[in-house]
Amino acid sequence: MSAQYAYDGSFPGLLCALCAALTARERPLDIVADRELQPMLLAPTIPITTDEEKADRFMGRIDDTMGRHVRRNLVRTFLSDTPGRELLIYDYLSFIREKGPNADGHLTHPAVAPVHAVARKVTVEAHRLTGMARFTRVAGELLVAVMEPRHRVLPLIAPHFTRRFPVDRWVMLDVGRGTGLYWDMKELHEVESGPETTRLLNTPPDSATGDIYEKMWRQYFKDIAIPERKNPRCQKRFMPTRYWKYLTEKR
Amino acid sequence: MDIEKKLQILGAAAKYDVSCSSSGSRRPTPKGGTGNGVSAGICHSWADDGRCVSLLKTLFTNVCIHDCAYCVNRRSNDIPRTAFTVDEICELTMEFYRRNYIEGLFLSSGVMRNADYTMERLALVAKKLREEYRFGGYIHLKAIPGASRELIRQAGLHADRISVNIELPTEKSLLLLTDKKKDDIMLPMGEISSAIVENRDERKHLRSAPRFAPAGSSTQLIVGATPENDHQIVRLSEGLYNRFGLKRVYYSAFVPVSSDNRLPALATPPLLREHRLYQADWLMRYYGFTAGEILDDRTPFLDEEMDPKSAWALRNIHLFPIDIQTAPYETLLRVPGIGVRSAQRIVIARRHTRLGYDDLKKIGVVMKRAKHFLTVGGRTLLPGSGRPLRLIRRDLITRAMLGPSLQLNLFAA
Repeated sequence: MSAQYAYDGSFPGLLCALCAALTARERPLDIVADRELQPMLLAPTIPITTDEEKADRFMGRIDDTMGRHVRRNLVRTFLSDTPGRELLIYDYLSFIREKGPNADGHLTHPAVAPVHAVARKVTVEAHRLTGMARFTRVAGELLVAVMEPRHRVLPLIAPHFTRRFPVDRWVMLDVGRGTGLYWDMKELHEVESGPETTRLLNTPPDSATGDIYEKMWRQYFKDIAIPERKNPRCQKRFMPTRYWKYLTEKR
Repeated sequence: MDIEKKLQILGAAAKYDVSCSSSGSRRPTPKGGTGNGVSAGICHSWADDGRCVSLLKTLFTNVCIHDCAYCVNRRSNDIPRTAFTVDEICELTMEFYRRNYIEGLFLSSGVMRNADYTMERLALVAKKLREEYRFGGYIHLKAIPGASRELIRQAGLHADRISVNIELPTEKSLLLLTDKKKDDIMLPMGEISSAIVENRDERKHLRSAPRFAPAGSSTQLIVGATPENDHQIVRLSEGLYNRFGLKRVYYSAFVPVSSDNRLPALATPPLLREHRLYQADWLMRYYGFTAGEILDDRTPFLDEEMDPKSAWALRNIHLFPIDIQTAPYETLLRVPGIGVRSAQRIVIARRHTRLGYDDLKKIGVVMKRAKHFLTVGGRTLLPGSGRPLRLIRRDLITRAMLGPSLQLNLFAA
């Protein structure tokens, strides 16, 4: 009888659940994070214990037998908060296991198309935010970027910023999820939006000292638009208004 | 004058230069420094006119010895004049960059004293950013018309891109509206293009040879200030791509900035024409079209009602329909409604399955247009065959759909 799998919500946890479900060779009813778990009347729930080593081995097998593009799609689909993403990933992996690594090119197949679509959304948002993340200078030479992305893109974009700003101390916060990453000029650390970060957030960017560069950027942003070509529709298409809250020039 | 005021004047004065790309350079972050180049380019914001903002685009100075009729900085225009210092530009670039407002600097300038004096200042900004500020972000410098070869060569060693604006498509227009000569523009452009070619060659033999403008060169043409037709413009662009190896030609709808009687009186900038030219330019760069296929002497202007690929397909309806399952990639690209991405996806997906109408929709093909030009497994997608051109034409018209505020963002990356 088909079962639902419950994992701890972490990425290694999901890998362990996928591994178990794929080994069982029966499509699970669902794979859900513990926090979303609702007991089902007629189906057993199989609790999954997260085992980092096992997860690593499973990921390695995916790389070897299915290809790195499959890993990429898997990771990105996981980072989206799309409901039911675990089962999408299960169907995708089980299809590729059956048909071989090239089956990823079966773009219109119901096991492939949804994963590609979700992964693409995550990729698009991550790329957007490499451009639209805005750092604000706070006390102690620290740069803070606050955002509220739809998907969990911080782990995807942080490496870009470690390459770009290696000799600055900065922190990026996903305030919607209360998570963050802090760069101490050597490595990235996970942080939570605790009291310390809240205090940082509440430091108004235009505090007593004021940041003259923020002021100049806002003015510059106004000045470079050609009034005869005003086109708010186009502007919003590329820069949706949900991001404006944290854009220095639009705040 | 303080730096805030200067940026207000010199930033605004640079806005008519439409180039914004930050792509094509994969520069690593310097040791102990800040910034790198990402080859795909990154847009950081979109201005109120819908154009992407990728670089801090500014003039070094708006002082100018020239008096070009179309230019807001012309000598005879009564506006406040100022100039940055080299350090001011460097500081601004670094501080904007660290807040992630920009990918780097786009520095252009009016001509102060003479071409070489100005070019030297621009080259110095780039050199200082690289060597003192250890900046690895994107730098695009304008070559000043008439500047010497040596200075242009120096500038290109620190810049990712170096470019000269042609602005006016023919020498006749140039002589009418400016005090510049064709050679003032074409010689630097030739110099840049041969330096890029030589450098590529040199680096094949010696990996450690310094790079010269790794992101290549570009130029800009003003559209609608002078009487040239689209055919002349498209042919010029094709020549620039082929002979000078330019990465981009930008088109800038003329915005009247003076009431000079040598210029046309336009109520609004010709944005639709500019948009069609960008589409034609895309056809040449990504779709394998030649200028001669897009326009000829009998059709000197692009159709305003439909995109240039649709117009071409209508004129060449005898080449269609093609079969979605077997047509080569190059042929798929020529179908209205199929873009580069959907053509690539069709080629991948059809190895696995026989594509039908719904599959094509899923892939992202605009079926309203494409259906007239395709067969699936030898069968047409339309009930009845041999539809009159009139009906096909109706489905290809995009103007009404897009409305007056039409301006797709073709500047991106």
